[in-house]
Amino acid sequence: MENDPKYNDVLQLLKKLKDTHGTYPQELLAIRRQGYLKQVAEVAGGAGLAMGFRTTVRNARGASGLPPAAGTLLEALLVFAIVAESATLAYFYRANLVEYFQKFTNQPRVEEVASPPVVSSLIPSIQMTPSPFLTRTVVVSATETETPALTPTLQLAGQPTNPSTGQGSGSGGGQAVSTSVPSGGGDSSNGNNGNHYGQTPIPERTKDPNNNDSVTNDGSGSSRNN
Amino acid sequence: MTDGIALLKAAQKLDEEALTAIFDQYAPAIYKYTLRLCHDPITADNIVGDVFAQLLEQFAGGKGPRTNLRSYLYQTAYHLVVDRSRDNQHNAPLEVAVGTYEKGRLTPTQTQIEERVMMEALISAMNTELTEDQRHVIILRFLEDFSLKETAEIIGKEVNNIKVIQNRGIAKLRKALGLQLEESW
Repeated sequence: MENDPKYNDVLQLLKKLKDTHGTYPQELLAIRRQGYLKQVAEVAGGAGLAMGFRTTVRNARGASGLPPAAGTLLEALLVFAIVAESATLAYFYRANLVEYFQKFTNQPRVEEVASPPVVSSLIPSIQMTPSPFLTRTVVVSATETETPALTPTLQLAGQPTNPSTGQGSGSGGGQAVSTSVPSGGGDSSNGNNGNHYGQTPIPERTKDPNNNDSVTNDGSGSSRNN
Repeated sequence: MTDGIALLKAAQKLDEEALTAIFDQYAPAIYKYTLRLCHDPITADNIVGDVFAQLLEQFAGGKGPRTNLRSYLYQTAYHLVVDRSRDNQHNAPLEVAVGTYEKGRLTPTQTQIEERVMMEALISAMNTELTEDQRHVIILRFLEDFSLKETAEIIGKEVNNIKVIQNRGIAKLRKALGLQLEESW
């Protein structure tokens, strides 16, 4: 004991005080002990089942004979196998998957567009008339160009073509038809004189100053000898 | 020591015999210790019940002491006493110990009367002069025979701190008993 010797007198008194017995009263001790034994029985009974289960689990775990590292390795292999299987399935059924996802991605998106408010402006509105150039129908003669039969022809639905007028697909194989403006050669109702390609008036022949009757090409694709 | 460890291991497995043996071995000592601190037999008895109930709870949960069962029980009792003393601030002197000290004495001699006076003075000094920590350390060290390390574990302080508390407590007691000691010896 590392106590200071000068404290020995107090320590002697404390030692005597230690010998005094504050004994546990027998009646209190008996009641307390009885209650404690009851608690022990409850805990031992309830915990016995839990401990038995724990022991069973521990034994079952130990019965496999695998160390913990092997268990971890097995777990990693299992995860890897699952991932590989998923990847393989995704590869084989990739077409279905693409179709499935496109079903969601290619859905038309309806957007509600509000019309802009009409603001009365001080600037007078300008009436725009369509240019004749835009409404002109180009008619290509069958002799000039031959359109392959498989060339698609643009036609308006619900507007059957009239073959007797020489319009539409019946007049020339490769005729392009504009959408809203009636087409046709010679129709000058809208100021179109019908001078389309192939229908332009043949220019008058002029005399060659050199009186040269050599073969000339007038653009019709044929040679003429005067 | 080996028996204590074997008893502890058996108790951890909730062996009824071991648990009963632990109660029989330590309940009177715990009662005495708590009686010295709280001075009420009923309160001391209740604390004993709480101490062993907590022990059972710990064992059932797979916890509890692994080596020093005695220190563990005293530590639990110490915390329960401290909690109760904080609740009711009850600080009665060690009358019970004095009362038991008186029992069995049929006709006290002069020496016994002097001893009794000294004991009463000591108990009074412990209750009035010492701080709570000093009282706990003095009781654990000199009345319950715990080592400095065990006392430090029970109270939850460093060993050096326990040494300081102990020396200051003894010095206070000696100072309070100075007159009586000089007169007696």
